[in-house]
Formats: sequence, structure tokens, C-alpha cells
Amino acid sequence: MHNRVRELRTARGWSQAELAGRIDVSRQAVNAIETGKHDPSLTLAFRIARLFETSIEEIFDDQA
Amino acid sequence: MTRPEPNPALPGEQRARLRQRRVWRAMLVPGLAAVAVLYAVRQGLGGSIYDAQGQVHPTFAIVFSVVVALFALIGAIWHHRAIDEQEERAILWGNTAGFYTVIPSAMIVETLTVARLIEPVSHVTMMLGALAVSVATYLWVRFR
Repeated sequence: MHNRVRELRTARGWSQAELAGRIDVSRQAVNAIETGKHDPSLTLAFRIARLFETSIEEIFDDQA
Repeated sequence: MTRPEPNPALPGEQRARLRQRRVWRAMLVPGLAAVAVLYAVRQGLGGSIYDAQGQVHPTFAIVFSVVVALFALIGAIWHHRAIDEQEERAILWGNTAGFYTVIPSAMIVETLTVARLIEPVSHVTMMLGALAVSVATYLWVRFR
């Protein structure tokens, strides 16, 4: 699934480890999400959306 | 059982390091504690795990079995609480690959052995083979 996690993270100047700590997952999980190799659960997707103060649909797009 | 919540007051990278520490602690502490208990038992048996006939002492074997099962359970509970969903997925696929390796292998080896076409194969060897497939799959899903 296409997503904007990397774009949103870099816009804030955060490393993958910084984002990983903020959403309580490993750095490998952040990398897997950013590269589209892992689709996050609904719980994690909500956590990411809240952190970036936007909606899930603004971050994740299964149509792209 | 709920997972420990991250402290939002800490910087993200520090929380990530604490999280990583939880994973390592879950794996290492039960392992080291088990080794310490078994070492104490060995010392209690006169400094050797072997009896006068050169066999592993039955007391050590019984304690070893209980300690390995107990500390593996503790480690599994801690580890389960420390990992994230991406690692859960890697473990799921690793275990699935191991399962689908060992079941056909066992059936094939057993049939060929019963038909006397091959010599019996050690179950430990087959288990280690399945474990190798399991670990390789886990590492591929986790770090690709």
C-alpha cells in the first residue's frame, strides 16, 4: 500500500528511530511501513495519523 | 495482558532504545538465569553433570528439563510483550515456513525409512533443519 509516512517524517526532521520511538515500534517496522513491505494494523495506522495530526486516508492510499 | 506504554515525555529515539532494550532483556535475562540455575545444580552435583558411569546425571537431566521449559515460557511471555506487529508477522511466517518444512519432511523420511530405502534420520537433525528454514524466513521478512 502506498503511503506518505516517509514524507511526513522527513518533513519534521525525524529519523526512523525517532518516529519508531514515538509510535512504539521498532525502527525495522518503520522502514517496512515506509517501503510498503508492511501494512500497519488499524491500531498502528490510527497512532501514526494522530502523531501527524491528520487522517488515515491522508497518509495511506490503497488505490495508488 | 497489556504491553507497557511508552513514556511520552521521553524523546522518540530514547524510547526506541528502551524498546529495543526490552526485546533483548526478554531474550537474554531468562537465558542467563537458566544458565545460572543449571550451573548451581552442576556445582551441587560435585562440579560435573556426569555420574560415575559417564552418563548425564538423572537429577541434572530432570532439573534441566524443568528449567528450560519454565524459563522458555517466561522468555516467551516477555518477548511477546516486547515485540511489535512487524516482528509478529516475521515470527508468524518463520513458524509457518518451519511447520511446512518439518511436516512433509517427516512424512517422506518416515515412509522411506519404513520401506527400508534409507537409513533412519535423527529427529534432532530434522528439527534443526526446520529451525534453520524458520530462522531464515524470519530474518528475510524482518530485515528485507
